[in-house]
Amino acid sequence: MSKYCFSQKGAAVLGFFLLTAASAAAVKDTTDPNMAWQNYLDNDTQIEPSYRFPHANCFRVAALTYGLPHTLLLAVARGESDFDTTARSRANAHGVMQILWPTTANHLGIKRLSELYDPCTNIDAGARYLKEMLTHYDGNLHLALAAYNYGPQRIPTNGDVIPSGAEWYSAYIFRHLNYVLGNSPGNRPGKHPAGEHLYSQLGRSTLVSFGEPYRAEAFVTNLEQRAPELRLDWFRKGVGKFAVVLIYEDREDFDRSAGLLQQSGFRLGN
Amino acid sequence: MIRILGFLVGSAASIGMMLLLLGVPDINLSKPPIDDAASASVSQTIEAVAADLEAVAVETIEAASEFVDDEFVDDLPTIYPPAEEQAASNSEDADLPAEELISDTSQIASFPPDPSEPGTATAIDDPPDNDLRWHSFWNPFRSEIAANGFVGQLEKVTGLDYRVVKIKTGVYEVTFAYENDTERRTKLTQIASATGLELPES
Repeated sequence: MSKYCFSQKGAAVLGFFLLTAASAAAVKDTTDPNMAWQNYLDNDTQIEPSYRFPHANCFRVAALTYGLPHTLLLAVARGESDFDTTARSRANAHGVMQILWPTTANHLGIKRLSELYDPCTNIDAGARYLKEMLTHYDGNLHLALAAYNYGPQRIPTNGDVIPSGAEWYSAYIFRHLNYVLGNSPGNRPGKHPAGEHLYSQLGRSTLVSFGEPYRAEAFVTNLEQRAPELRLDWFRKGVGKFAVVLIYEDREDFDRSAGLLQQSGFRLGN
Repeated sequence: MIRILGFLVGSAASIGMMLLLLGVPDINLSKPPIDDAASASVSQTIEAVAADLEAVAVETIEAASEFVDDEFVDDLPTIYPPAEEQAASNSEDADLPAEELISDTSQIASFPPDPSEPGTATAIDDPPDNDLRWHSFWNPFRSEIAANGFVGQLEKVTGLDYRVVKIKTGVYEVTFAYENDTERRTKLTQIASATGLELPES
């Protein structure tokens, strides 16, 4: 995906400093994800996405089929795989919506693993499962997402005790929702009008990977404070790996971002 | 041992004697007993009602014919046509060879959808309109529930009518009706603008 590369050594320069700051910051997000999702359902489901995301028709059809907000499905897909049809996790989840094979896939009527690599089939399956969870949790999207990630048997319907990882996942998808809606710092307006630019044409370069999500998030937060013009994001890449990614539109944008990173103390490798 | 044999032979002999004296009971479970008198009464009633009905029907037709031009009298409906006659009059293809009839039947079976399928969007009471053609504008769905869910939302946002067509098990197409290409393109544009779908030719 990335056209221009940073050396992984570059991360080491700022590593100690930023990680110390990151640990101190430790992402104390005071936003209640339950309230945030409810607010989204009440007010923002009709907002059009900020980009033309991959497999757009599949998402729109799945949203219509199951009566789900289009942007919600995009947010889940971005968080799960960044729209990569070939994504595969160590937990044996596959495709755009990371459908677990074979249990969840079989439950959704998918009998062959290869079917999960068809984007429309995968997106339909993910949307159907999310709708199932949403119905099970009486319209509570926070719990539905927690169950999408952890399984409904581990999330009580009253939401009394939710594993911290499931709670984290809901907030993680909400962050991607903000990106899809054009509300996140990493999605500042580019050269193209909102909604017309192809997401797939954006370049991506991985700056550094972490074993813990809060470290990746704190790293991004810290860099964004130093250089607000940078477009940074972080993604779950498999189990136990969280990659910080620089996003750019073209070569010119990449060079400009590289300069900003250097000014912030992030030395680029050769 | 001899005592036991004697007991068995004695028992068998006494049972045999009883059967000879009393006779074997006539057990027949296949048919219930019929009261001949009641049966005759019922058949007479049916004949009487049928005669009355025929008389009323003939009178009604005669009365109606007074208000109808003579040239249409021959078109008055037969009251109870024989089954063979009815089948022949309903089939325009009655003279076709058997192979052609079978071929046509197979086409009808696949499209439009089988109305016996639960939940299909095809209305059984609606006669098929031969002037309409059907356009499938999206990939087939794997489940009928999903296809119907899609149709439900589409109808809500576009105000158009759609049908779910079962191609085979696990393959369900969503289609809309159109009379000509202009109408087909207009509807595609309507769907695209209402849903945000990027459809070719819209």
